[in-house]
Amino acid sequence: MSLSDELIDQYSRQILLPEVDYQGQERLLQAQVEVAGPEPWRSWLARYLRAAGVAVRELTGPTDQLTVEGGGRRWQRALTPGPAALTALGYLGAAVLLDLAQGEGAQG
Amino acid sequence: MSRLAVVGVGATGGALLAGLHALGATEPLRLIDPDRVERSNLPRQPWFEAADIGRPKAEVMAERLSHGYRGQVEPAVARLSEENCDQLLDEVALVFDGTDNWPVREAIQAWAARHQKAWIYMSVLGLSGMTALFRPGEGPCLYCLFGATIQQGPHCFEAGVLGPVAAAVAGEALDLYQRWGSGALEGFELRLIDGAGGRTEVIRGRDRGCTHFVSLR
Ligand SMILES: [Zn+2]
Repeated sequence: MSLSDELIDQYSRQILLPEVDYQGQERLLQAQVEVAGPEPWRSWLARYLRAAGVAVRELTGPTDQLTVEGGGRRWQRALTPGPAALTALGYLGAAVLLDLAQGEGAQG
Repeated sequence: MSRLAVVGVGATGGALLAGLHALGATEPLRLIDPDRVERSNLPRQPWFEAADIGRPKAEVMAERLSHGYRGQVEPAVARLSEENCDQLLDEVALVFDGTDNWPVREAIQAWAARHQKAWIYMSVLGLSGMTALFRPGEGPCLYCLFGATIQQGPHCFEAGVLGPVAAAVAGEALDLYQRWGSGALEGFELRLIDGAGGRTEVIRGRDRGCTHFVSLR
């Protein structure tokens, strides 16, 4: 798979990260995950992952945590009410993207 | 209800607005941003869509918030500066800085000192970010923290950024805002967001007496 100029432009700020790079972006565009957790945080996490290039399916799930599963791996983060939920969503999304970009064998 | 201004409706400012919306906030909001949506914004500013490319960010974001946000929302398609900040920030109680732009940040800080208002600094670069709430006359200012001759550091135009890290920064900024609003924020905190490690480090500062805005007190 090679990325079109339009995709390279769209994902340029991610590709510039050494932790993602061109190869990592290709992996993100091939990745598929399932996201579960309470709204509105689940939708926001799904939006961030989709915007980064990942295919996302949203499922209903536990109300006190966000979970992401895909490629034989699972990530989760507890949710507390208030702004800490947004912080948790951000950290979880970052971890998922970094792990997916670094490929199957990488340490999370 | 105290009016809030969000200067810069990009990665951090937009995530902050999404957070205020999700938390059911009711404060009137003023969204100030001169820029238009670009394709390369989409991965880290996921409230924008491909169909928004070319439209002013402040207007698109105000439109998104009009679905369900419980307070008034006013967009201003303008670049905040020393010259226009008294007008653009008229009747604003607190400013969130989502600009990642030092001259604009300095204009916000000078405005805050003149009017004795608080403001919240946010920045994100690569996999890490920072946020802090500054109060004129109490604790350090931006210059105390980073030096009075601030150089424009690496910018997200040339360095990479991972979108969700900006959401973590915005979450910490909102937490500072809520604690400030309820009177529970004691002293100065610089919060360092580590997107690779998934944790926030809080650095507490002692008030050594800021001398940068002394003539204004
Ligand atoms: Zn100072």
